[in-house]
Amino acid sequence: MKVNARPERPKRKDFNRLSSRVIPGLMAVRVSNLVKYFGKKMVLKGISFNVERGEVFGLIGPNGAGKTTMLRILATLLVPSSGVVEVFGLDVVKDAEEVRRIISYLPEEAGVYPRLTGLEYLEFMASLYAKDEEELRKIIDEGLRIAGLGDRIRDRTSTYSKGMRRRLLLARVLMVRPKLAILDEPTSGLDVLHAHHVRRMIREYAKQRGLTVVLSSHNMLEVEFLCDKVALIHDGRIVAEGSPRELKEAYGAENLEEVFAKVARIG
Amino acid sequence: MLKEIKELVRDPRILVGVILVPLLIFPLMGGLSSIAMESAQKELASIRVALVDEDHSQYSSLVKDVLSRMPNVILVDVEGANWMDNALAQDARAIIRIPDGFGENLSKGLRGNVELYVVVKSLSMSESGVQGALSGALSYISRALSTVIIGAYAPGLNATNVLNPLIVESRTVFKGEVVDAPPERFVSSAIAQSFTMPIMMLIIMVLASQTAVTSIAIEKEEKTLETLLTLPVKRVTVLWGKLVGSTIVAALAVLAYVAGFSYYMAVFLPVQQVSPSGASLSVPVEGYLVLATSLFLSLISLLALSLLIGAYAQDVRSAQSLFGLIFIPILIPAFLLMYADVSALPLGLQILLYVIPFSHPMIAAKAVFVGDYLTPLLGILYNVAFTVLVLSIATKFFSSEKVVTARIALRRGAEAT
Repeated sequence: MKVNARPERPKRKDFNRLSSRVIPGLMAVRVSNLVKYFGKKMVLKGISFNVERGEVFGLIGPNGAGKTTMLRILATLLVPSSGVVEVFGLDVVKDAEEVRRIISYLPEEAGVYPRLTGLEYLEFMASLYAKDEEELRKIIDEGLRIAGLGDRIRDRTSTYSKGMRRRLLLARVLMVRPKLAILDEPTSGLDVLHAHHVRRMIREYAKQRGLTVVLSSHNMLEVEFLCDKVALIHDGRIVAEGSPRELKEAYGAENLEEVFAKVARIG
Repeated sequence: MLKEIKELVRDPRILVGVILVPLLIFPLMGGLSSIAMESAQKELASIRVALVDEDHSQYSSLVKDVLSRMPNVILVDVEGANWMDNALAQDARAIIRIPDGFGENLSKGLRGNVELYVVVKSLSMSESGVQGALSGALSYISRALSTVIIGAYAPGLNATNVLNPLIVESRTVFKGEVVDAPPERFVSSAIAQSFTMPIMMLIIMVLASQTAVTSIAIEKEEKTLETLLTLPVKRVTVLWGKLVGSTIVAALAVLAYVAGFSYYMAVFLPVQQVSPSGASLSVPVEGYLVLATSLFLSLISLLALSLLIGAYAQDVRSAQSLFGLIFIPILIPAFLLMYADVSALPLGLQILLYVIPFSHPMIAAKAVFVGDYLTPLLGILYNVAFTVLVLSIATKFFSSEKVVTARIALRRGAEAT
């Protein structure tokens, strides 16, 4: 496994400059020898990987492999037991607040405040990022476009279907133009139309706007469609890593599903 | 924060439980109890009393005469060996039996025997009203008999003066000043105040704490907590948003409560307001400031503690059971102080009260009332220390991963990976 030399971490005061400027050679995500315990149980057993800027990186693996824990650490919700995790050069523990300003996290089972309308929800979220009224309007307009819920956006979210809620949540994630989007099972449980909408939006933001994405999924077609690079996690370890094409070649498989099955059996 | 308030106020659980119920419960309670009271009074307005006169003396006739002239008594004459059955057959609520020899005893200067039987029909409040009316009637009869006896044996004496030889002019000494008001009136108004203050504070604290204890659990249940914690909002701000949101809901609840309560007092209990004339019972502005500070500090530390405890719950239901942990230390001082002053309690209880930080505003409410500022100020100092401690623990907790994983301590295997 190739691990890049650690780039120099920017100072906090340089942060605003950093978020609007591209620093060549800086990895979007750098995970090095990450270990996570829950009590005495070791859930992540020394994980290392890098995600390049603008890359869509997929984590796949069976249930309980450690994908969600990995994403929650990236999202600053959990703290590594040991190892280094950096997002655009910022440490997820020491610089957690700065990291939160450049990431947007979509948990697998995320909810929305049921007593707010879809529009109020987007307005509330946008207000946390916008510096002025103009920017606020811009963010909300973008959110409305991504959600694509039409007039229903004025209804309370408690009346939404799961697909509509997921679209609203995705709008929240993407509209604030994060540098890194962390998506845990972005389309799980959605019907074909909602899932298609969600995938189309992720792809649009990644390809056209250079958004870096780390996602987990059980849908291998989705992973092949969206991801530039994939890591297979099994029992807290990365057992294979590469582009979908490289992985298929390496395992002599027709598709990622076969790769997954072979790796899982080996594991 | 606006989101907190919108969410809380739009939550039907909060709207109904915290705002509507107190608004409606008092008028409803008042309405029902006044209906009950009216029917009880109707019952008191005409009590059927059976008189069994076996004495037939001038004194037993006097008893009969006095009874028959009482406005709320319907007198029924009963005779014969089956007097009890006869009386019951005539639906008597009480039977007064004057045995033979009653008048003879009285005329010898002895006391006369009378038997009173009261028919208990139900075990309600109106029953004690009937008994009250009966004992009132008997003491009236007693006085009438005394007057007749005194008139017969000492014609020169004024019977009323003999029966009431003392004229008492009572005044109250309060804070070293003599107040021209009888102490029972003065004290009853003071008691009303010292009784209601702990209750009001108990209610404010319970409502605020209940809102806070469930607020993290609601976020967990609705799966919004993880998103909230990854937003570019300082964790301390999240904590304060929840504290302020709960306080505002508590304030709304207090307003609803006060509105409902004063409506109840004004419409259903038009009791004469006792205001001790001349007494400086009013609390000066600085007193209210001390009281408000004490209550505010207690509320903040209570809410922070509730948030902390509530964060360990996985859902709203378990959060509500955890609320019991907080409820007890609020309930203890409220109940102790409703009935007694701190100084009147045994030393152990006194220490307990001073240790519980939520007692201090209740203690302050009483202390300020009698012009004691040292106790509340010491209480405030203690509460400042406690609040700082709880807030720093809560801030630390909210900045750590525990706020997400706290439930793991209870059910580690459930962690999603």
